[in-house]
Parts: sequence; structure tokens; C-alpha cells
Amino acid sequence: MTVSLKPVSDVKIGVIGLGRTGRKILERMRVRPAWDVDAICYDCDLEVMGVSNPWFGCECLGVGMLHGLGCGGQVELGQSVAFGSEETIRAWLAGKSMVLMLLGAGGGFSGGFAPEVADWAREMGIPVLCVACMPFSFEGISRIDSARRAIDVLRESSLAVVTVELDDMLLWAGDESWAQPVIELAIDWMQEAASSVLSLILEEGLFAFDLTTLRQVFDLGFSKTLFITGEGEGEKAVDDAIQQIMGFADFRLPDSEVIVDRMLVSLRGGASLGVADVNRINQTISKRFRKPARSFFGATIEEKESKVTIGVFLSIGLGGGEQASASAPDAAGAGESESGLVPGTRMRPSKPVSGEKGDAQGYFDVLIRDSNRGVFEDTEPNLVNGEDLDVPTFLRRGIRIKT
Amino acid sequence: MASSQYIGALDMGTAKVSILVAELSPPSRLKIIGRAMVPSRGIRKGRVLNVREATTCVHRAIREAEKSAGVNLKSLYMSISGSHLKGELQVGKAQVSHSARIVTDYDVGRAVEEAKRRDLGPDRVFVQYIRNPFLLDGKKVDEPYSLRGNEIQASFWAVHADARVLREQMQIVNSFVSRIDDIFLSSLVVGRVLTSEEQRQSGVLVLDIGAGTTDFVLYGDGYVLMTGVLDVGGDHITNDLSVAFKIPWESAERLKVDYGKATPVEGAGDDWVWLRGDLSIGDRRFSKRAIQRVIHARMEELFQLVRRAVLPVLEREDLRCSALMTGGVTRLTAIENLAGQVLKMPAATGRNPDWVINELQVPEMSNVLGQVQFALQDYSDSISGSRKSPGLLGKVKGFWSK
Repeated sequence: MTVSLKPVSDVKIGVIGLGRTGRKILERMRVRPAWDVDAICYDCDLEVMGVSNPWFGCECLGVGMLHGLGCGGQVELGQSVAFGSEETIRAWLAGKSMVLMLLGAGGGFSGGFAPEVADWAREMGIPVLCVACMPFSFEGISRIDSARRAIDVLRESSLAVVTVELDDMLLWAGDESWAQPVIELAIDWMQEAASSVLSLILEEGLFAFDLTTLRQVFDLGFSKTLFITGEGEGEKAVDDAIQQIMGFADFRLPDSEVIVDRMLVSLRGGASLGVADVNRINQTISKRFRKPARSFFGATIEEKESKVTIGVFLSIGLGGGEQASASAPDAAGAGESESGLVPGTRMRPSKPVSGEKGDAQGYFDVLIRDSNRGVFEDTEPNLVNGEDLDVPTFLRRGIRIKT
Repeated sequence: MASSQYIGALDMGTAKVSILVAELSPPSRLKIIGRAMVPSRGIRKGRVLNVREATTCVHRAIREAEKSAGVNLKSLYMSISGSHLKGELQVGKAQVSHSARIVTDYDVGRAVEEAKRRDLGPDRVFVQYIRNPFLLDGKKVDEPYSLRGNEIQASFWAVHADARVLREQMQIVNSFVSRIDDIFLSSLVVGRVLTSEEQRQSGVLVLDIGAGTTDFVLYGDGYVLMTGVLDVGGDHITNDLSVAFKIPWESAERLKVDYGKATPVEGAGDDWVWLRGDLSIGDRRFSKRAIQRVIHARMEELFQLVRRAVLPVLEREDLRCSALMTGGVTRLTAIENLAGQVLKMPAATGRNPDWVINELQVPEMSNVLGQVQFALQDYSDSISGSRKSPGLLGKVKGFWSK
């Protein structure tokens, strides 16, 4: 008789890639053979389907309606394709413990298809985590609006929508950058976000991290979730990875003026990654984001891995999350740290204005912080009546700015 | 007969370093013969942050000004700013000693001496004593000599500076020219050039809102009643926009210049503007109202701070005055309305004197024009033998020995 020491897990995760972006992400994902993952790529465009891949299947939907062509940016067509394939999708969803959905928001197919799938999954009691990419502003207002609408609808049905914004990445890369390398970088980040979630749940790591813990990370309800990643190799692997994280964080969230409600740090590395390194990474990143109300940490070690990869998920409540948060079970997975609330310094989630879902994404109630000094960071505090005048006035006065 | 003299006036600002070269000739003629304005580096909020960069750009400005004027400058006047400058009213009293109660030099001297008797710490140095009216038995008098009374009171608005900050700025200039003729408070020189004697009599608040600092001076009854500096300026607006929209400094500056408005237009509808407008890669659109809200918050706060600073003097002197503004930030649309509302006085943007050429009719030149006017006054006094200014060495007595 054989006795297995590993706890029996019946977790089955489904990964859906939608459209061209979804397929590219699936192709790049670092998936280990031992993982019990069911992955599929859906599109209505036969050209995108291409050659099938060993680890995920491809299915072209809506052929009878669109004759294997794309949606041409029309969300309604993507929605129609979804309605026409409901049985197929529901059959695929059945039995899944969780679904990861990967897409480029703004496209007609993914914009119309993804919200329907997320809605059916919710009806079936399956949590959905979306990783979506926001288009460039220069792609046009209609595409941006379409992406925003899709993201807002997805937020209501999903555990969370992790967004990677191409505009941010382009600005970060500098004015000299081209769009294509930025898109490739975004796809890399999205695959890293998806891979790290799978790794945390399906691998036995330094800290126990399971689906329940993941749900706690994203139980804010209507929230905005950003993902930042960095990687390094060789002697300075950890330093390099941290530096990349900090670099983007400084650009995207200068001095943490947006207070993070939840943070998940996912760490993947080889045998050389010691506990001291893990602690250093945890402390450095927690300090950078000013100890979010709840932070979670997961680390997985693969002996042959030569790189150190850090992924950071940052969730910010946009309203409606307090209730969800309050009803969440207190039991926290190992690796979680509670930093607690600092009186007077918490961000108040900004509830979306009734009937203006589109606006909710862009609004943040930001609060007084002593270090949002921008270019004045290196100068002495400019104190008058107890306030540092170098910190933007709108931050100190809590004025909402539509970004 | 006194010969003509070439003078240079230097303003080391956060955004620009400006120099004006003028020829002074008897009895009090002034001819502007050269100028230069170069982008500033290494200076922020009136302080030198990077000596090498600041020195390079100041020297470049001096060279360009010399080239423009066709003369070599041996010395320079310069202005100073920054919140390291602190001002306070210093008062001294003396009993009139004459048996017939006639005020003499001796009585005034004792009152003045007492008013100036204040020991600053080793890190501070007085840079300016600005005389306020004398009080003879509680009544304001301009010149108390030969008047009758029991008690004479002298008062000065005294401004002192951080010795280290001042020394750094002076060293940069001294490393190019052999001498600094005099140093002026930025607020005073700007106030001098923008206001008329009548305005200073009736009461006027002058604000110079530059890139790094806001200098202000309050006049009443023809006297300087107070001066002040806040380390807030146009750079703060740019920084606020940069933080709000998470965009680089240059992009934020562009938004400020192109769409900056001190008061947002509230109500239905909103305009969206593109950063570059050519739909190129990296172009983004922004809500005009959001831009204006960020700017409005900053400007409203700035005027509130100025109001809070001058209010005790306004109340003490029972002064009803108006406001005049200059500096690059005054290019913001509707800034007069906001200033008027917050300062609770009529506000307008000031203009440089009509006698200067069009190229000098820009806010950035007010400072150096004011310095030149003071220099002309000095020159006239010196050739007429009535010079009152103590000069630089008199102002910062003992400074170099610290």
C-alpha cells in the first residue's frame, strides 16, 4: 500500500485565452506538466487560431455567423458569438475550481465575449480572475471606451480584473519607444501574472497558498488591480528584480499616493533563493507600498530555475468592497501579514457614481501622505502651518481628480 | 564731474537666470544696453541645490549679457529669494532728552539702535532693514527731527537670511565678477518697478509668483509694511499635474501652459484635450476640468497663505489695499478673479514701466528692472553726496567672518 504525504487536492483550474492577445499570453506561459490545468483559446477569427499548441486547445466560435472572420471591433458581435456558444462554454466551465481569463480589452470579440463568460461562471459558482490589457489611447476613443466598459462589466462578475495599461508602459518606456515592443512587454507581464497565480495555487511553496487565500486577496468587490513584475538572474538577481519593481512603482504610483488595500507578492526562484532573500523582498516591497491593510506573500522554488521573478498584485477598492471585505472569513493563509489600518491615513474607496460606471475607474480618492513630493523629493520639507506644501494641494485636501 | 557707469542686475530664478546691463550717467540717466535670459539649472525655491549646474548657467548668462552689451562687468547687483528669508518688525523706543522736548539726532539714534539691537544665531544674517514711520508720542511722523514730543519710537521691517544659503549664492556670482554691488530682496525690487508712489501711499500688495517661490510685499502710507516669501510657485503646479496624471514633468508643463486656468468652469459637460494632439504614440487625453481643478487647488491655497500672512498687518494698519501680481504664473487665465476672491481685494496683473522696450515687457524681467531702478537711485545719491544705502558690506556686516 502506498501512502501519499501530499494532501489530495481536487483543484482544477481553467485558463481561457481570448483573441490574439489571449493566445499570445497562453503561448508564453510557463506551465509545468504536473499542473492540472485545462487551457483553451477562443476566438472567432480563424486566422488567429493558427497551429494548435501542445498545452492548450483552440476553438473557433461563431463560424456560422462570422464565417471565420473577426468582429471588427464590434462588441455586439462578440456578445452574439458568446450567446451562440453558451452550451459549449458552460460545458467547458463545468467542474472548474477557478478560471483565469486572459484578454486584450478593447477588441470586439473579447469585449463582448468575456463579460458573458464571466457571468456564466459566476452563476456556476466559479471564481474568475481576469488579466486584461488596456489599449493605447492613440488607438482611438471608441476603442478605449469599449475597453473601459468591458472592464467595468467584468469587474462586477469577477474576483478581480488585473489590468496592464499600455499607455503606462509606453510612458514608462520613454518617448522613444515603439508600440510593438511595448505590446510584447505587456504580454510578458500578463503571462507572468497568470503563471504566478497558477504557480502559487498549484505548487507546494515556501508558504501554503491555496484558492481560499487567493479569494481573500481579491475579496474587495469592485476594485482595481494592478500588476507589476520584475526579474533578475545571477548574483544580483534579487536586487535587479526589486529594482525593476520599484522603478515601475515609482512611475505608476509615485510615492504610493494611491493607498493599496490588498497586496499579493508572488515570488518564484531557484534553489539559491534563501529565506533571507525572501524576507528582504517582502520587507522592501511592503515598505514601498506602505504596508497595505492586508498583504499576502507566496513563494515557490523550482530547483532548476536560474531566474528570480517577483510579481506584485496591488488592489485598490473602488466602492462596494467594504461589505465584501467585512464578510470575508478571517482565516488567512500562511504568509499573510496584517498591517492594520493607520488612523487617518486610509484611502476611502470611491464609490462609482450612479449610472456612471465608466467614470468609476478613473476616480481615486487620494489622501494626505507626507511623501508625494514628486520632483521636490530631494528638497527639505516645505512646512507651513504643519503642512508640507511640496505635496500636491489636491492630495492634501482630498480633492478627487478625474485621471 | 562723475563719469558714466555700467551696472549689471542679476536674478537667479528657479526657471530662468536673467541679467540686465545698464549704463548710468549723470545726473540720473539710465540706458539699458544689454540683457540675457537663460534657462536655470541647479536652483530651486531660491536655494542652490547643485553648485556646478547653477554656476554654469549663471556664468553663461553673464557672458551672454556682456556680449549683448559690449562691456565687461566688474560687479553685479543681485536679488535673493526663498523661505530662508525671514522678516519681522523690530521696534525701539527712546525718551526725548532735550529740555525743550525737541527731538534730536541723539534721540532718534538711540531709538534706532534699540530697534536694531537683536542678536541672531550664528547661522543667520540681517540682509535688510526697511524703515517704517517713526511714532512720536504714538503719532506717525516721517521725519521726527526738530519736532516736539516725549517719546520717539523707531521701527524697522528687518529681514534676515540663512547665512549658508546666502553665501552659496554670492560665491557663484563672485566666482565670475570681482564684486557684488548690493543684494536686494526680490519682493522689494519687483514692488518698486510695478507700483507708483501713489499706489504705495494708498496701499498695495505686490505678489511675484515665479517658478519656485512667491515673493510678496505690502505697502501702506508709502512704506514697506512687510515682506514675505513662500516656497511655492509655478513648479508646484507642474508637479501637481505630474503627480495627478502620472505624466512626465515636460508633459505636465505643457498641460499647464496650454490649458492652465486658475478657476475651473463647473457645470455640465467637460472638454477633453490631447497632450500633443497629433494622435502619435504616447499621446493621451485629459479632462480640461481635471487639469483646472488641480491648478485651482494650488492657486487658491497660495492666495490663502498670502492672505493669512498679511492679514494682521492689514488689520493693524486698517489698510484697504489692492493687489498687483507678476511672475510667470500670472499667465494663467482668470488668475485675477481667483486672487481677488481669496485675497478679498481688487487684484490685477502688473505691468513693467512704459519706458522699457517691448522685449522687456515680460514678468520675468520685473526683478532686474527693479534692481536697475534701485541702482540708479544709489548712483544719483552717490553723485549728489546724499547716499543713504549702507551697501552690501553694511548690510551683511560680519557675515564673511562667520
